[in-house]
Amino acid sequence: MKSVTNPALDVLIVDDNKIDREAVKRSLFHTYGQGDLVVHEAGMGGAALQMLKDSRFDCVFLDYRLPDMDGLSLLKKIYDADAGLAKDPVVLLTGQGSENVMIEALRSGAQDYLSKDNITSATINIAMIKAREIFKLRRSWKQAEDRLHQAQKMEAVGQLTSGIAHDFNNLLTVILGNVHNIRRRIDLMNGVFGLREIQEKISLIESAANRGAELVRRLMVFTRQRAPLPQAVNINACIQDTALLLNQILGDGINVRISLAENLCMTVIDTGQLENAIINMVLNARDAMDGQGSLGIGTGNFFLDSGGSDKVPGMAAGQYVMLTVSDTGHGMRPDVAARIFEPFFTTKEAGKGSGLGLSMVYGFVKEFGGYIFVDSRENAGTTFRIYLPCIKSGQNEESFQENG
Amino acid sequence: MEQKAKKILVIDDDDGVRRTLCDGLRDCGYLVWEAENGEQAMRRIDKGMQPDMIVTDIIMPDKSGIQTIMEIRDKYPDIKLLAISGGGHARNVDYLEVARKMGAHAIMHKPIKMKELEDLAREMVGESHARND
Ligand SMILES: Nc1ncnc2c1ncn2[C@@H]1O[C@H](COP(=O)(O)OP(=O)(O)OP(=O)(O)O)[C@@H](O)[C@H]1O
Ligand SMILES: [Mg+2]
Repeated sequence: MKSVTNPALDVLIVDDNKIDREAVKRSLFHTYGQGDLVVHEAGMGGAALQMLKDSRFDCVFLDYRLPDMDGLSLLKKIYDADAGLAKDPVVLLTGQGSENVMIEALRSGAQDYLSKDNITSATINIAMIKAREIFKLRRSWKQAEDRLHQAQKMEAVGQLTSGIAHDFNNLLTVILGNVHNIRRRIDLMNGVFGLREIQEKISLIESAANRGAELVRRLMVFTRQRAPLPQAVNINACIQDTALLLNQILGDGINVRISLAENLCMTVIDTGQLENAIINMVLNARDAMDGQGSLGIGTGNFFLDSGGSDKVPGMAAGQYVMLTVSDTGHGMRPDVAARIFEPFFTTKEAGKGSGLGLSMVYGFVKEFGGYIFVDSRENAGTTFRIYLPCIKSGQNEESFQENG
Repeated sequence: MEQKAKKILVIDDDDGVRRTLCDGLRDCGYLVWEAENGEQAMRRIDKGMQPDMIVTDIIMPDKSGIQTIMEIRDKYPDIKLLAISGGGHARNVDYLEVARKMGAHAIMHKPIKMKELEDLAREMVGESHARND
């Protein structure tokens, strides 16, 4: 029996015969109290499909025979992955109880079946419990399978990257090495006509090859084929480097505000990973804003004294660099916000998001001893705050005091 | 100033890389010879062509760079060793770090910056004024 504190179960009964619907309803209410169960009804397959699209149900009782379509085709529509409807457990109700129909029903995705001759409060209740449990199990299998596929994909991308990177770095060694060697030879040729022009052209080759090298480096970091390269940096510089990319990523409708603190203290990170993290957060912000809005990126020094730890739960006292990325997008419900750092968690449609962006950001922040927090309100926007520990040095002491 | 020419052996299975590194080092006055793999390199050294410094790639067919480094460490402890690598091929293993633990004096990631290579050569074995023409 359900406890009163649980929300009521929503059950959908799809049957064109009112008497049959009543029989199911009566049997259900024999077990459940009025407040524990809400029954929704549909007499046609088309209407049922619409209801299934619009809301979710804890269990669906589906008649095998409907005037506009038979139950099996409706089942197939429900469990057609593309329709995104495979979210509710289904019990198929069969009139004649042929074995073939039952097998077909199970193969089409129904969790259980029940003969109409056999509807009692006990059988209906058991069928519903069974259907819900089987549905949960199948879904977790499916999720595990999806995660495995994603992991295998990442692995394949990683191996591909690694192989390409190796060859690419050899090619770049040849290009950049010969740029260097040619330059030295040219320096010995004083006064040759057109030398300046040659030097300029060589510089073009060099900067293109350097861009190629940077690309490979990022790819390696992204697929974790390269060990991180920790460096002491002022993260303002990394933000300025990525800023050039932002307008391209965001498009014209989104206005970008960047405010970087002066005297920002130094922190130890892998710059490629930081840039990657910023780009991932900016991509998410873009997806949340639908072409219109504003994006803010800011930095600041942050001092957390040992007495004030309660202000930021779980964070060790100390000196930090704070990086914020905020948007005016659609925001998140609390239950979504609670899961965003999980690998493979995504609310985006298949093919749009892999759910790895923020888990990589999280991995990066933790790798360098930092913290990440998210503040989000539905339909108002989202702000990510990242705290990275400062390098201890006397020279920035003043600015900590000011900002702390 | 009278000075003996310094000798450098470059080992890399990639023709382009090998030639590029050799050209640059020659232009700096080093006496340079090359090998396509560790096997070939060891044969030459054993025959008496002993360099002051070896630049070796790490991932190569036949004899890997790591093996070569270990062998040279044992037999010819005076030779300075620089390991280079384009990364990749092994997950979560930084071959260059392994090379360093196995006795490489220095490591460099590809793409190699010639200026850094030349500075390092000068640091490890000193200037050289061989005639390379
Ligand atoms: N700025 C944001 N505003 C609203 N929701 C967000 C924001 N950033 C992240 N989310 C939510 O968090 C989920 C997880 O984000 P994450 O970056 O890890 O994966 P993804 O964007 O779905 O896929 P990927 O980044 O791998 O392409 C998103 O699907 C989205 O629901
Ligand atoms: Mg993302």
